[in-house]
Amino acid sequence: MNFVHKSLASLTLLAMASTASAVTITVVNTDGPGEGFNDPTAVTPLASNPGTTLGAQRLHVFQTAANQWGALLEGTVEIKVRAAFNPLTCSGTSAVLGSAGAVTVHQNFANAPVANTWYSAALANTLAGSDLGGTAAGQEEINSQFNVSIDTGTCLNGAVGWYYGTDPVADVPPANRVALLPVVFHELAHGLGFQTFTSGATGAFLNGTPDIWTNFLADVATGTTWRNMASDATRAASAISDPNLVWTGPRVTADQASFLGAAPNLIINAPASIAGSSVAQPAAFGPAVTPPGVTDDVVAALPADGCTALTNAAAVAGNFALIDRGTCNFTVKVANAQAAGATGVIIANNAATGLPGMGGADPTITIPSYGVLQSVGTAIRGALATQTVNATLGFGSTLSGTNGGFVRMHAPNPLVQGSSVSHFTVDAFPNLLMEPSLNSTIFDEVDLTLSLFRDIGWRAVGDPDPPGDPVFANGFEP
Amino acid sequence: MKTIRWVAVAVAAAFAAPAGAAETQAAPAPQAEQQEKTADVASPTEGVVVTVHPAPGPMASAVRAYIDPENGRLVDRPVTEEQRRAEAEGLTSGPGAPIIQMRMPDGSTMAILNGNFEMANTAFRGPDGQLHTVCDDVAHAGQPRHVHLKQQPAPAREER
Repeated sequence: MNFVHKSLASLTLLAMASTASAVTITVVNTDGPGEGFNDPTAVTPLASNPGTTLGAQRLHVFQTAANQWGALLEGTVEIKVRAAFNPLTCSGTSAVLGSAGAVTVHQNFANAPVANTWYSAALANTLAGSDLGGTAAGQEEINSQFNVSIDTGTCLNGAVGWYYGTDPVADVPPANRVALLPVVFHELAHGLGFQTFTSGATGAFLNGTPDIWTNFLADVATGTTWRNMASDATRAASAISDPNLVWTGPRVTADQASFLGAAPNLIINAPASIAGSSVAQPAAFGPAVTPPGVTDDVVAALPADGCTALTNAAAVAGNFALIDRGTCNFTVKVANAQAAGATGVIIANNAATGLPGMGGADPTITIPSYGVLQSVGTAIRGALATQTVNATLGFGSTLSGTNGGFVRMHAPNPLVQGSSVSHFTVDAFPNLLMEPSLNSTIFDEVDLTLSLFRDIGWRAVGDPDPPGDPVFANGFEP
Repeated sequence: MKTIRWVAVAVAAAFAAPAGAAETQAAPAPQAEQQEKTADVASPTEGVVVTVHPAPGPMASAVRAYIDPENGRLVDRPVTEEQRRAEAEGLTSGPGAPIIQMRMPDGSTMAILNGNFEMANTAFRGPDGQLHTVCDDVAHAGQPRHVHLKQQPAPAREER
């Protein structure tokens, strides 16, 4: 599968060809002398970070992230990001890496695409063509702070500090350091507008006014956008309605095939009585399954939970092992199946709904495994009593992380404050920049994030002239 | 100037109120955003009308915003005596801090979020020893799982 990765390199030519100007995003250093961005501690420059002091390297990462977004978005009004390195919450097992958000939101400004609708300051200024909140100190558009305590080596047992490289190829992130650039890149996106200001907990609009996200967040079952839902309670229910909360913006919808892969599916090829395709969860460990998948006959493992050495190894060898979830870790089950000679593992869920998480880590595992629905496991086990079952750990016809043709947003139940709604679904594959769990390898690829920005009103560098978003000109607003 | 001074007092008064109090200064005027002392405010085309709204969520980290009465602009340090008193009383911005909504001279409306809706990125060591990250709201950033969120899902995938 080919994915369009909008890295900086690929966008350079677009920027050169367009007559529009890339927006300037400036980091406003609010640290005091000798601290944070002003820390004078001497450090060795990196291949991708020329700073000779700790403070200079931190600032270089920040400005690099800011420049990356600036190179992608059009605008004539400078966007200012208030930034500081401060001691934030940290322990041996958890730490706040950083935070960011809009300082102000605006509605009914000049050129506002949608009336009576909140827009983040950075986007509002860009649309208005002026700095709506003022340009003096304290009037920045985005506020951000990141955890200086990470560099003390006392946070997150085993982590010695931040990694300040900006190129994961030129400077491979060490395993015992936390890459700063992906965190800043992700958080700046929130500040630029990748968030709703409608409460996921109550469904209430901010001060009674919807924000631009509510035009595009929708319940796929009813087709109703958040803006048009009948009540706050309806929106609150939608915020916890995985997999039904989707983004209906035309850009994201049009671009999804360029960034999302086919959803992993278990395909039963035989017997005909149970043949078909069903959703599956690939394991976080072992080799990834790649198209067209892997195919083999299935044998039910004994014991059924696979938590001890398989007693029917002779039958399992050279086939997929069917194992039930429960009692022990997924990695233990797959390791036992591997030891018995299985070519792959199918783990049936032990709950009526949902898929096994298939999490865990074991570098010794060399066979693929999928988690499947309980009903699918039951059907396979039933068929095995009298027939040969042949299956493929493969892919379905729909894109991962989608529902009804729209990209899903993160809407688990219960609500996860700060994660729910304002992120893409975790079921997207490959990982997207704006999922709630940060993919620390995403340094500059903006995937569907840029498409969403275009949906809410940003113009991307390279968007066709003249100005006048065809989306709004065609009256997409519901 | 009279208008701006009045605005400063209104904002400072809002910061002086107990956290979580409903500080919406609704007025008898038809527009819900008009303040009571409309007599002290120049015409809507010139004045800045301020409404203070309580914000959802508990209080957390501090990002402060104040209005400078001399020019009506936002600044990050208290300027008036009322604002300094309010800061001394421990009112911080952040989730739960009042959101200040202002009608601007150009007819637009601005809301000063005062730290509300900020997103925090938190890292956890999972049972597998690997680092996992998750976006939280600032109020919950870095906190261990706690009761009022019920069964908050773990940042890492289930392992059994």
